[in-house]
Amino acid sequence: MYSEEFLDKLRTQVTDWESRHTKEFASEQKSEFTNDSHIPLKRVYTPLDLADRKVDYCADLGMPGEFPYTRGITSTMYRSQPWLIRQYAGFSKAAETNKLFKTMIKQGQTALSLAFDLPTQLGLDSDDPRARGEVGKVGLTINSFQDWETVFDGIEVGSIFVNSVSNAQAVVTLAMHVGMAKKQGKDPRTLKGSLQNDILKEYICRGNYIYPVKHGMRLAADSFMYCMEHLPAYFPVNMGQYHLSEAGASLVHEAAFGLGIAIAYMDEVVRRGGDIDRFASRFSFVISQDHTDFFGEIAKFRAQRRIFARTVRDRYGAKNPESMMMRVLSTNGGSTMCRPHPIDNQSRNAIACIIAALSGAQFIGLRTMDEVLGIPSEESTLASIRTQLIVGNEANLTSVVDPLGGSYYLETLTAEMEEQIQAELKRIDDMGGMVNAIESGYIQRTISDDAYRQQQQFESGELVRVGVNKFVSEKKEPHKMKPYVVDPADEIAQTRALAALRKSRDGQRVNDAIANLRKVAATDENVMPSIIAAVEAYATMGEICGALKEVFGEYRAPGLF
Amino acid sequence: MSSSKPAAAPIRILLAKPGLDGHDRGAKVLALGLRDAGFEVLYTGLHRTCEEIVTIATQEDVDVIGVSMLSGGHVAALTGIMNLLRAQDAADILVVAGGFLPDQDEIAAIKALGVLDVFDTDTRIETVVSFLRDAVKTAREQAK
Repeated sequence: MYSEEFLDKLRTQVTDWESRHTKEFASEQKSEFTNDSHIPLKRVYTPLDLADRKVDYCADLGMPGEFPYTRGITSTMYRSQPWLIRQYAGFSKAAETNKLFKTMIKQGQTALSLAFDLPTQLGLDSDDPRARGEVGKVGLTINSFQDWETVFDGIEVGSIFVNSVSNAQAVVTLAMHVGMAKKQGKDPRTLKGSLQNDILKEYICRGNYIYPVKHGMRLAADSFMYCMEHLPAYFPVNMGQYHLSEAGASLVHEAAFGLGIAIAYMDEVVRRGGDIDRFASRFSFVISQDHTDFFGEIAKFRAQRRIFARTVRDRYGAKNPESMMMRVLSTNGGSTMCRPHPIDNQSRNAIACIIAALSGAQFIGLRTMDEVLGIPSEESTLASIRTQLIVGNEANLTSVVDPLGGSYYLETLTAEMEEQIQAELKRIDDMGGMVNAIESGYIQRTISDDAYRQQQQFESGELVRVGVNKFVSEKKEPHKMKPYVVDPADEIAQTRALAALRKSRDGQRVNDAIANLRKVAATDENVMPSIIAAVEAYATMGEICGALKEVFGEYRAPGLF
Repeated sequence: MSSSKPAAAPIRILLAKPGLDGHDRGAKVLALGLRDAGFEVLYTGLHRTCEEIVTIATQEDVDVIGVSMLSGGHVAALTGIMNLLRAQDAADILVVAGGFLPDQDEIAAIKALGVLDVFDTDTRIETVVSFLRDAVKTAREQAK
């Protein structure tokens, strides 16, 4: 990018500068400055660093909205379309959810999000002994199609975008949504929505798995293939890369493992004869961007955007530019929120929001300052929405596309992280891919080591949390705590409704549907049609997932650390 | 039984995750910290029942069970574990708990079950290490 003459001149200038300031350099507070991924950080960056790393503007950065999308996936970014605000919320009862959805739709909301309680996420009915005390605790309870009918009673499913945080049992919630369209007399092809459906990260960190890894992967792929063929407006997977970071992964490991999982899904779709352009153009990521490494987070995002574009084009031969664009919801991690002074967390949220905006996120979701104390209050949720609005509207941050692009530091760091992420991806490929890397425990151990190192840095004071391990205030600030209490009556009501359903439905039809599902699961055939039939026969979540357990077995976490 | 071990034997601890909660960063970090401090550490992995936890603890002859939960269901799980330990004549196994504990009343209720102490998510590893060393030392001396 630069002429040799210029670089020689600059080299002399830098050397002279260094010799003139050695005394000041000696006064630096640390002998080595590094980032979260242990990349050493120099005192200052110049065009020499870009030249050393052979950064080629035209090939590596290019223009926004064009390959390799380092500078953003659209040519105008926030000048045309502000990022969309996505705050997370959950409710426990189908009827309450229905009421709230109707209110939201009346107010112009066009997308709904469903978060489920743990038994539902793990394919357990409310009357399962393992579900005791957990029913309705962290989200909606879905025991059968009947609950889905209640949630969408009076709501035309084709007219609204529905996101489901489903993973291990995503095939069942997807089947329910298809069943609902049919019940309303609508063509399922009109369904709009998305599934989290990122099962591989569950084995690494989030823990909501049911079946052994390869069977979990098979079900995910069945749903991908079904969506590609029958639900063209559906987004079948939303990569939960954020969870890797929350489990402790460094920036490089988060990006590498997130991409590694994405590659595993794309490999599987291609292996099964799917069209890469159809699949990759419906792909999206939830990535973590914490306030704890401002430039590192931005560099990670840009490096990942570049790697994703190149991987989809070069590894799979995709043709459609849409397939190469990494669409991202950026969110900061609950683990970065601190307890002694919850109000300070809003400063952390604001920094995270600026990071996401400077990285070029399509959606942003922030934490709530009081979630360290329990379920967030409405007040704190609104404060986080307003923080996004302030960053987006008051700071004139959005007038220029990729405003940090070209920074010597940022571009060097982006190139450096790209190299490290690629090296990690190569390691995973050498292990035979992500499924092997998970089954061998490599991924889990690497993340545990990262988490342990962070804890050690926190305890030594190298990693600072204001008010927690540095600048600790003697005075404890009073705060209102609102721990969420589950009403035991809810669990009893769910169990009763389930018992009534088991009596009233056509038992023979259920048995036949379950027997058929068991048969299909044992072959290579796509399970989706038989799950839809089971759902429509009012087989319960537990019965459907139970039948699959009989065929696939269950995953038991090996207790690695 | 653990109490019959020599005073200088390394401390064996089982870190356990009862229930459906899928968060185990804390348990894993603590496992690595205790290992580096010379403990013999076992980890159950996620989604264990109280019965499974107590069975592993007695089979593996551990000195301590550390129960980690972030979903807030400590009282129910710890009640189950303490009852099973007593029923299996293994009440000499010490029990501590950790995780996200929003409520002071709940901490008192947990300690009333016979759980030695409760550590929240901000606890330093060295605090847990020295607490457990003292507790196991005392238990071994009393057993003589």
